[in-house]
Amino acid sequence: MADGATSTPATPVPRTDPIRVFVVDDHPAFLRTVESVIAATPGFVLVGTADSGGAALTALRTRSDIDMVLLDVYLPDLSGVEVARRRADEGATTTVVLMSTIDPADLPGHAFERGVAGFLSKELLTTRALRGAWDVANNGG
Amino acid sequence: MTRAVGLDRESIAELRAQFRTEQIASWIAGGGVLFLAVVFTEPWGLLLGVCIAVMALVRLPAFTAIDRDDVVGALWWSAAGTWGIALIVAAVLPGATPIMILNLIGPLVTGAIYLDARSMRRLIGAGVVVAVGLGALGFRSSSTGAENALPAWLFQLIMIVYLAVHVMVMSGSVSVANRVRIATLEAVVDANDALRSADADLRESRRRVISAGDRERVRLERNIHDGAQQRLVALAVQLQLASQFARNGTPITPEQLDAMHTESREAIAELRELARGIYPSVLTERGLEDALRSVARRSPNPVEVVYDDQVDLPTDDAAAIYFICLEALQNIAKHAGPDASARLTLEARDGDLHVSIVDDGLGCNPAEIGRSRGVVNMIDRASALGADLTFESEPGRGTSVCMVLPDRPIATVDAT
Repeated sequence: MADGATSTPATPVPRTDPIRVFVVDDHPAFLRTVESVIAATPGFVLVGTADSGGAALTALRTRSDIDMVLLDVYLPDLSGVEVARRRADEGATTTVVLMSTIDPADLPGHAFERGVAGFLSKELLTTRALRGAWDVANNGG
Repeated sequence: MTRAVGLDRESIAELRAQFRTEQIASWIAGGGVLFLAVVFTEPWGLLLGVCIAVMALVRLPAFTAIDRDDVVGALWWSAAGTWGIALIVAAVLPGATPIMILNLIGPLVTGAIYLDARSMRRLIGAGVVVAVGLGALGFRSSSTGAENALPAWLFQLIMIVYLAVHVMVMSGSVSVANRVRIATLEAVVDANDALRSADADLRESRRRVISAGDRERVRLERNIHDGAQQRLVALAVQLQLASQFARNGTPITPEQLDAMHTESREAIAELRELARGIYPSVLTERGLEDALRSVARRSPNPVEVVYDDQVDLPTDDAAAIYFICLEALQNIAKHAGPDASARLTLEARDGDLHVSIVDDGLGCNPAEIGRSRGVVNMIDRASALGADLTFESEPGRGTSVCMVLPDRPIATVDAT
């Protein structure tokens, strides 16, 4: 996988059809933490990570096994907002949730316009918040 | 002080030269008249020659006055002699009166060039009195007839030569004075240009200082956001997860706790490093010498610190010197090569403070030192202190950075 995008080895997936999550973040410490939160959330499985916007786009375009993308807003190359917009332009329907340490009120006004289903404050990431973000985006809460 | 306002040495020297020319002309005139009086045995001529010589003597104090820079006094003595000659000539030779108008005007022209308004008003007042006297003498009906002692052609020739010489001297002095004034004006314009250029440099430096401050804030924000903040966020999420595990009865592994501990220690280390970059606490707590020694110890190259302990500096100076030395030592670490060693000296000499950082490393072409951001920061910090900063380098011969902070009061150390 190009540009630091990696796949986790296939974990034994029960047939209850878990939600397959792809995480994009350039901070290794936080990436490891998201990994633990997903591992502790029943019904969710981590299927891959990327550490830049470009690597994320490449991975998302070539893979069909992703249900949900946790996307950091500030990435070294493209912003998460830009990655989501491009995916939406390409007709992708994957659930994209932006993540950041900054107050969502400080995000640019157009951040949630296209391709973004929700926002998670990084410090408030819990198993419940992760499931909640999925439910809001897909089942209307 | 009787010196006229705004005259420089050059103007005064020019005035003295003009006096000398006039003096020589007066001696020649007096001597010439006496010679002719003897040749043509004319008693009026003898009287005239003697009077001209006396008036030439009257002019002499002008030289001592101008040697004392007393321009006003000098002009008065000179005018007295010149006008005296005009009045005597008009009295003895009424036919020469029109030519003597030049003697009337000469001191007024010179005065107009060199005198301030108040002195000039007095000179004009005296000139008016002399003009009335000259007119009265020139237009009187009776004549001594002395001009008839000479052949008419000779009398006319003398008057023409006198006229020509006078015009030459007078226009020469006006043009010299004008040249001096223009040179003075050009010097003022040059000084003004230099001031403008210094002002532009100052604005540019101030703009750089502000934008360096902004850049520094952006850098800090990025460092905090990418470093300590991310670690603390990760730690918060991990703690929340651990709390959830504890509630569920899921065991928390020692590795998970170790990871959290590592995360918190990394965050603390990053914050400490950041704080040191913002302002070194050693500088506020233990002073410049310890701060410099601490920087020297952290440097990868051996650095000897020579610190004159008579030096006691205000906080602003200390901070600027610290950051300039820090930048210089970082440059040595980056560019001087692993084998380079350096010497950092700070000493008080002749009331100034001298700071130098000299290394024996690879050196470089001085033109390359020029405009790196770090070097520009050093220059800006130095100029904010009114200090001169110089860089010297040569390939293979190391680099030296020297700064002189002028007029720094030095704490006197009590020997007892």
